[in-house]
Amino acid sequence: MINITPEKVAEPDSDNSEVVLSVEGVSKKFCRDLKRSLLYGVQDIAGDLTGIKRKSDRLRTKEFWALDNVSFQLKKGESLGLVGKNGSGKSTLLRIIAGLIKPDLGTVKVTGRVAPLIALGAGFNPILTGRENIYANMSILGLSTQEIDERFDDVVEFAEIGDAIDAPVQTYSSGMAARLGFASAIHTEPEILLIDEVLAVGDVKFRGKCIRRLAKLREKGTSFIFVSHNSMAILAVSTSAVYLQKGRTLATGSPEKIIQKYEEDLFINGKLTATGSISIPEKDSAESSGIDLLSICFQDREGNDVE
Amino acid sequence: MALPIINSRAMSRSTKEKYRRHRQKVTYTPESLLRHPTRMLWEMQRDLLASRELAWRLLVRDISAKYRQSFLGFFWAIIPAVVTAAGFTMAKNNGIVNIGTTDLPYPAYVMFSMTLWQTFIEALNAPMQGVATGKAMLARINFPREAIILSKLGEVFFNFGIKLILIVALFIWFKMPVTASIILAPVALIHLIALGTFIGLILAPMGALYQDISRAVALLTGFWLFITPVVYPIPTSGLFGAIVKFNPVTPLLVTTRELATTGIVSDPTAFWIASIFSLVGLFVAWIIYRVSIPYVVERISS
Repeated sequence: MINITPEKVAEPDSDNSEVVLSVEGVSKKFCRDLKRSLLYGVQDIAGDLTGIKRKSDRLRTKEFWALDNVSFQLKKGESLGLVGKNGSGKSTLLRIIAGLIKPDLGTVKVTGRVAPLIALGAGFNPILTGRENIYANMSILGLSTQEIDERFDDVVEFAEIGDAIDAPVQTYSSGMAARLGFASAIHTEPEILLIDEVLAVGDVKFRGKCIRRLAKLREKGTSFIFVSHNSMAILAVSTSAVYLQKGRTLATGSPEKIIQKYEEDLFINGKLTATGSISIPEKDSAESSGIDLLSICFQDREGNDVE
Repeated sequence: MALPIINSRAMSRSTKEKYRRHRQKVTYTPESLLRHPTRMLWEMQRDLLASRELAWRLLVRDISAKYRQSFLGFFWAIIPAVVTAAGFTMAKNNGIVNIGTTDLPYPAYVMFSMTLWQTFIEALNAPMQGVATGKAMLARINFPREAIILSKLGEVFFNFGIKLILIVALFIWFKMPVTASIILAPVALIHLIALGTFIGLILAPMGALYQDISRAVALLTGFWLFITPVVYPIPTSGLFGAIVKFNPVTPLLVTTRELATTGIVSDPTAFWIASIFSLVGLFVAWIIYRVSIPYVVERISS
């Protein structure tokens, strides 16, 4: 469920606003054959260390371009949606922006702290308590102890963990652990937030809370890169969108335009194959938001379903 | 003018923080880090400083998790040395092995040397273990990569601290004299740990890619123990003597032991050669580690 926040974020003046992220002609090659991939890894390390760098713009046997000449810019307070099928290079792009892997070609310039909302609960140790894990996790995300002290209560409150904060994380439900991870990550208050399909955390209520929190961060000037298969989520959060296909930028522009194009491609070249009615299985009370759609259909005046 | 003084420290800290956060510009390119040595060195010292707090957190996390899951706890740090010493003392007393006389009572000699050897091996394994256990973190978050190494080294020192109980007990039990030179022993010990870390750090990126590395290390360290004067005194002649002498662990381990006990360093030249080898090696290994990690992350996961 998506809560579309009514308050509009003031659009920054495009001429004066500062660019916080610029991706210029970034390419990355990958190899699906594990043995070869490891060997190439060793080759690359050796090449980098000796300075004899092989031509990185050529593919070796069984390699392919996971990203091919991708460019875009992100300004302060903007939010960019990345769409594309699985394997189109979205996550690879996020990993390059986060500085985890190096591009093979092109450059990425980042101003400010980048926090990945990709790695929820990274470094969580199930034996330790929620409290200890918050400190370890936020420390990994780059905060000093003092900064964590300041944010600690907010994190616990946001995660709705309550008294369980001093119990080992292995006693938590998966939802609680995920909430704790999300809460820790979102309270690092970075300049750029990378969000990779993580809004599926917790129940409907918590998801709504997450989206409201993201909107608040955007008002404060945090920029986002947002990866999702959920078109509604992209439309709700993004100010612009990039459509990736097989590592290439297929289109860039307004989220509405991009989502439309993406959905056209998904549904076999624009032919939306829809049946006349949809029925949705009833949700249990924990999942439900109070009002649920159970079925939609068209009926004629006599009350017969129209196909 | 009096007012700002009270708050000057807090003010400067927060403005510095803001300044740092806003001005932090990073560029990622395919270029090798080694092309810009000055920038690389600057980044190395920056990341080393930046990783202290995280390393401490990880250390506390790992140690508390380790001891919460263990019933015998500290016992495991001490027992291997005691068992080895008991075994070799029995073998020696029954004439099964022929070992020359040592400058310390034999059980104490073995226990002390074994403790030092173990610390060396722990330092050697530390970077590989750190990278192996931190794989998921390395693959997802860009934190200073030095932190996992520092935290593992912290664990090595922590374990040595526990082993120190055994060493103190040895000194009391065997009524070994203490010389003033004992205060220099930690220096030699640090060089020994540096040698272990150097080798481990060089192997760590490869070890993350290929499991062969950790297997080979387990095999070779077993053999290495036999060419290090741990259960026997330094051999003075023959091919074996030459091999033992050429082994860089020998002068570091022996000097640590000598400084802590007799106070007479038998081969200071060899000690300094091995020390410089270790420290320079450690620095080079650090550079290799930094260069390699992005390539490793690229290959291990998503």
